Amino acid sequence: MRPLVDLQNVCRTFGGVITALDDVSLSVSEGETIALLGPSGSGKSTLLSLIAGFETASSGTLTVAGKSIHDWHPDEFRLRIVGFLFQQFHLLEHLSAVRNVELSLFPTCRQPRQRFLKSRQLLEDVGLGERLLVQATDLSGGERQRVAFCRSIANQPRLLLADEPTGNLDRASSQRLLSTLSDHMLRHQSTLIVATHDDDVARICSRVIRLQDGKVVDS
Amino acid sequence: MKRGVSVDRYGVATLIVDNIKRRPLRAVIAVLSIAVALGGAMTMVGTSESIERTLEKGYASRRVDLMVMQAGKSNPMTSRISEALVDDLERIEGILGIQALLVDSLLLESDHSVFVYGWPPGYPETRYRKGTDSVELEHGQLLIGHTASSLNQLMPGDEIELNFGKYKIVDFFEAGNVFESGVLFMRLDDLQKLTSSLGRVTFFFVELEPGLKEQSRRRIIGDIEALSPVLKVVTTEEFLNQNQLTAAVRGLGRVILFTNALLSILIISTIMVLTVSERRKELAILRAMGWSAIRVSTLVILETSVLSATAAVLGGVVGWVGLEIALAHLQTMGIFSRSILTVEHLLWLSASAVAIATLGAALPVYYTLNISVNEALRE
Repeated sequence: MRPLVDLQNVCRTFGGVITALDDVSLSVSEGETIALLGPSGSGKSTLLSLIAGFETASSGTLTVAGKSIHDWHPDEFRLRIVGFLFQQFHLLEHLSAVRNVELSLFPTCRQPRQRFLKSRQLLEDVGLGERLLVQATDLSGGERQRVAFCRSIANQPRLLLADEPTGNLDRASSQRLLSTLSDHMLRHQSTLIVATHDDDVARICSRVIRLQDGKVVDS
Repeated sequence: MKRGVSVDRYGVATLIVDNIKRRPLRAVIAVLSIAVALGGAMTMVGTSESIERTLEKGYASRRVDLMVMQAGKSNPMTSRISEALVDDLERIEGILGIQALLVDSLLLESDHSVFVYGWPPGYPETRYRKGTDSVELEHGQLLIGHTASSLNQLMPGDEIELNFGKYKIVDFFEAGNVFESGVLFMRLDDLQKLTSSLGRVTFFFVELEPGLKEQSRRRIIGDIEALSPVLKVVTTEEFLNQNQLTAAVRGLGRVILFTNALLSILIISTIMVLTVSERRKELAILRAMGWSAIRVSTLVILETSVLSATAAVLGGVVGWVGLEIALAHLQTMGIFSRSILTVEHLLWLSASAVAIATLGAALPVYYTLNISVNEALRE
């Protein structure tokens, strides 16, 4: 089976002196859920940024969904292939929950009503049906991350990348988000790569990859 | 939650309006600045256009197609040509009518100078109402334009002295164009005598047969100029282009138009660059969600366009008010003109808004395209 993500000897250095990733090779199959575990500075976030196409590798090859990442059009890639869940949520603070999700549907759905209905459905599925019109700044951390999750999966990406998704949440909110993530992965057989410190997050994943000083130390 | 009517109608327009409303003071300042700049330019251009078109209408109502004057005169009012040329002109094929006019500037007793027009008897404008009849001006009689009347505090019935001669103002002259409201009218022979210009006139106004082709018009102009090397023929349009006042206002209008358009572009550009800088992270989030660079740039362009279009509408109002004030002020200086706003002006305003939006959006779009998603999200 062809891997959905394949990295071969990937290095990422900053200014030629700081090595964030050092000769990383790994493969992720479709439907796998991967936890990237490691201390701060181990290269987890850099690895996710490379796979998301936010950064480019200094050397090595990176293939996603059968094509070198350089061969993907960046917009098409972010729209159809990857969804990204950030630790800091990165919601548009002045907009309501539903508007934040609707914005991600602008490129793929022309009808405002269809965008609204789909966004509402996604938010209802994660228990935010009563919070649709609440402005992002008035949502709790857990609610914000669930809105961000809805936004990241709105266009049904083949690969969901999550960078410390529970890093800014309390325990109860973390549990709720993890349950939402597991349900989604099970139901849609999606592929998830999540960077985390949290062992609870690692427990919902089918495989754990440990990073240290930019190297894969255990996969 | 209420599942209401507008909740499910969130489109690009709502997004743009929401974004503009987030920074109301900045939007208001941008719109007002551009509106004032556009309005100022429109006032200047509108003033020169209004004066020229009022003059054009005045000449058209007199059925003036060509004006014959002395060659080599930068100020056409100093032109002097022989009145006897009228017989030669009448013989040229295609000419329907010829009218002589002498113009000179004379000093009133108050030391104010005033333009005096001398028309030959029989010309419609030399008639006035006496009792119940319309009669020709007699020797020693004057008509006065309304502006000349108010500026010099002269009324029908008054007697004035011009170059040691006594003249009586018998009636008002209903001026049809910019300048004639500020002048006095007398018989041509009176003015010739008064200014020692016997047998001389300033212009011949020539009316051509209707429907003449350009080739025939050119032939007539050639025939007239062949009569004497001192003759020069201009069309009314060319004459208006030579007019020093309208040329000055037009030139000033163009300078102000250019500088104000540039100012508007700089204002909108600065405002939008500031906005884009503040919204770097927000725009990076949109890019991370899969919005293309073109889609994000379009958002910036549309926001710029909404501000520019609003400014253009407001600028139109400012320009119209400015034009009325400018023309009212000119009227106190003896220059009468009606404000003329046409579809052309509206098209001009729309084109300005489009140009300002396009050029003003260039720099903000450049900034938008250069946002690094990764860097912006880390901020």
